[in-house]
Amino acid sequence: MRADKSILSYKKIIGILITSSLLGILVNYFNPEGIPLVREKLELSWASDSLFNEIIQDSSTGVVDTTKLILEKSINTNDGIEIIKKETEKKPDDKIVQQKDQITENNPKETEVIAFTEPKAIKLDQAYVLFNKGVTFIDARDENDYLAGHIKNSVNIPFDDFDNHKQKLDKLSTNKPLVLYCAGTDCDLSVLLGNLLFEMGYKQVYVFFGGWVDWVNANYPVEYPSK
Amino acid sequence: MLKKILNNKYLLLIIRLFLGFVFVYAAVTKISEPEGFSQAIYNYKLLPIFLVNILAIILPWIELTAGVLLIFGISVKENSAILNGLLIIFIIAIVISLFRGLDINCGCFGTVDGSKVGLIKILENIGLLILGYLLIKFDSKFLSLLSYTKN
Repeated sequence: MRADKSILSYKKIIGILITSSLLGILVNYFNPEGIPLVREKLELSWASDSLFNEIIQDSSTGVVDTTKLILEKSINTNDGIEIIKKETEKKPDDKIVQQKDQITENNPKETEVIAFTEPKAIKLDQAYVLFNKGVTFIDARDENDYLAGHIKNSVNIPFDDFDNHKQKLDKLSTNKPLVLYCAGTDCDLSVLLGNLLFEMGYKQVYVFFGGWVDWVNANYPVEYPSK
Repeated sequence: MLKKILNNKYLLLIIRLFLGFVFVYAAVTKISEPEGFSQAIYNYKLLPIFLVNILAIILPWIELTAGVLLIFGISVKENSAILNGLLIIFIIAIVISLFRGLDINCGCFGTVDGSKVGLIKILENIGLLILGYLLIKFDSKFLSLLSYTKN
């Protein structure tokens, strides 16, 4: 018995690769769940300090104008996430104003809701302000990372295992603010989860860039369940 | 002696079918969840963002085509070579991720198994690589579709 001496046909290999690739592109094109050929960059608006302070103050009075979201400039990060700050005129957002009016009329207790038009990125100091206000923090990392240490009182909803943890959202009102974080600035789990929760109806979603790493370095309150 | 054992048509058939079904299964799990697989590739942070989706679209179909052709015994050497090429790329990607300290899902079977990148995944891929090498070296025409049609 000898090894088969026939030579590999590179033409066949190239043929198979090209055919299967074209087949994949074709099926994806007609697949309702198909994805775009070029992946879109994740985009987040970055709230400026002045804006953030305004929102926080306005929240306490129940009068909020989210159309004050101004001051934008592009910041490209290395991991494909584009953080943008826009400089626009203050224009009333009819949808938000209308929503706010409805909430005020129908449910006076919910007047403090801020209906963002998209999740907002915040920095460490802003996250700490929200933490002190008792805002719910959500840890988007996986369960092992969470158990190894997390921001005090945060809830673990791993983006990669969302279906098994989504029941935790039942206790969280869509009208209350949420702060999402993951490992640090180099992770995008919080952005992905933020977009998902926003699509699910959570009106005020903050994504804390810097996440766990910045929080620990700042010696802010943490918990280590596994210790 | 070892060569004789390895060049057994029944053994090679089993290897061919095993390798074929593993890759067909892996492909189907990825094709059924393109968004999840795209995210899994993105998490490796090895490719520029514009290549992530295109790879997520074509890679499972290369696995599927090569896997199906292997099962039917068509162009066994060529398809084994393609799959071994993919396995080498997977191993390199996992090793780089480990060195970079990334704690990410492998994405080897889409989002179905949810297993992390690690030494076990590398060993699994090396195991498949050896099986693929045997098919490249010895070929497997036993019970292939072509031999059936010739008969």
